[in-house]
Amino acid sequence: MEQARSIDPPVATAELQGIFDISKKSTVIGLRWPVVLVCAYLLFYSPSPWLSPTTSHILLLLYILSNAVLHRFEEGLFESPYFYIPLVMFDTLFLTTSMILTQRVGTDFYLTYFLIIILCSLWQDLRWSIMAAIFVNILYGYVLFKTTEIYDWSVYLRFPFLFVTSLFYGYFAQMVRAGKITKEQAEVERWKAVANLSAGVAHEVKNPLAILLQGVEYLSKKVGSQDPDLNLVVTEMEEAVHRANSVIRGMMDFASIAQLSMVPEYLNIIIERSLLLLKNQLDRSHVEVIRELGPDLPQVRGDRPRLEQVFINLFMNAAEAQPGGGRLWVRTYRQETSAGNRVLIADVENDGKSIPQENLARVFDPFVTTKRIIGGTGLGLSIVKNILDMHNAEIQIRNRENGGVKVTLQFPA
Amino acid sequence: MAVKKILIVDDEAGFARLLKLNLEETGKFEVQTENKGSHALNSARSFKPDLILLDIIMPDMDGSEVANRLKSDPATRHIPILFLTALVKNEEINTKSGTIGGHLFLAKPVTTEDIVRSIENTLKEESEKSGPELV
Repeated sequence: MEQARSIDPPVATAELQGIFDISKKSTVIGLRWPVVLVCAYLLFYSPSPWLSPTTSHILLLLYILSNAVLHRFEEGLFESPYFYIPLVMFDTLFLTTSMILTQRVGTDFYLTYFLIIILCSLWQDLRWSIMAAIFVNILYGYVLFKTTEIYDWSVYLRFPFLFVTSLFYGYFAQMVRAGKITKEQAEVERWKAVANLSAGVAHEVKNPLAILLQGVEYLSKKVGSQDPDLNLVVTEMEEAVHRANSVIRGMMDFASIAQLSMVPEYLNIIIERSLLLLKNQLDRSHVEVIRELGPDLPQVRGDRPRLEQVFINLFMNAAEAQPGGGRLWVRTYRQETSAGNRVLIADVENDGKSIPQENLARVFDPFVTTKRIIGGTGLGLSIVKNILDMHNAEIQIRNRENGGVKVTLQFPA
Repeated sequence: MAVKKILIVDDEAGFARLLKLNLEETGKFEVQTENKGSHALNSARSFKPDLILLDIIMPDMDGSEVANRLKSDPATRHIPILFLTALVKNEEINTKSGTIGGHLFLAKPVTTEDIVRSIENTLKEESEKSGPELV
């Protein structure tokens, strides 16, 4: 019977990406730079009676370096409380120390604490913003009354102000996060509904098709060779049944996409398996496979059979694009996006026929095919796109300058 | 080769009738059809088929339940079963060893040629398992 497979929607990957929809790492580093600037201003322009200029500069340089070094760290590290909490505490203490040393505790520089609170609200939920606000209030309150002699009542307003603002940021960040997850959940639900409908329709249509096929087979035996037109009619009917079945199989592929079992997988192994499965076909088509698979690549979370389906589809397309033979390049490597995310790239490139320009924008639309004559249903790339969507992966297809097609897949690493 | 008796259990009466015609046309089989899963056990007892072609999704009793009952009855447990189903695709046969609960299955729509080949292979395997036939 059908195996029960777990559904692992991309909700899990809707982890915090920063409220501006860029990577969390980039958001944190970006927010730390203003803190660095404030500290730089304090240490440069407010000479401390307790610190020599050289010491101030060294301290500042170390702080700047600490933020620069963050660029080199893994995105996943920013999810760990053992990294994030000490980082935020370090920032808070460094800022406070800078204010104490430069005797600016009572000034409006306390507003820089808001950046710390935003850093906390970005990391987790509202609770962390409140905890950060309590920590900052206690620290600032202690430092204020120990190092200054300000007894102006308006100074007391700073504490509830910090607290209320932290609540606002925390609530705002939580709402943004919840909205994003709900959107992805809705997408998964929509997919599941389409999948169930496809599976149901496929089942209901396959039975009549089975009857038609049996009927056509029976008729073809009875017609014999008496009338060539009748033979033609029966043959056309049989081919139509097989074509309809291809479409139904495509719909069932859609249905099965909603049942992904996501586990860590090595992309190179999936590619090698897919190439092995197609070895005979590629050999027959005289397609030379050139592998440039990057070593020591991290795993991606994925459903192996479905990812194999993606690569098999792309390799078959490449083989069909060069019926007289040609070359097929398969590359994998790691890359950092402009948003600072580390991604795994898989390039599938051939030097066969290009895709007509007018079809390029529509290649992922269902039932768009240039291969109808050889039984193409136009569902292949549409299914590929949907499988990749469920993996939070991206696909880009473009023509090469000297003929051929380059497909680039981008997986979150 | 002696004519083999095949029992088709499928709620799609049209499919069962046409498949019966096509199988009997080959001259290799004597076929009986049954459109209710719940009646399959009695039909198997009385008809004594060499093989049963069994649909999976049926309104009164699904194919796996029918198979369980056939396998728990001493009179029918030796009869090999070939599942016919519209639930799976031919590609899945390769990934799941082509078996459901140890029984082979065929994905609808399927050609008579494929059905005949599967029936013959199954019967051959069964006869090899049980040793040479006594004459």
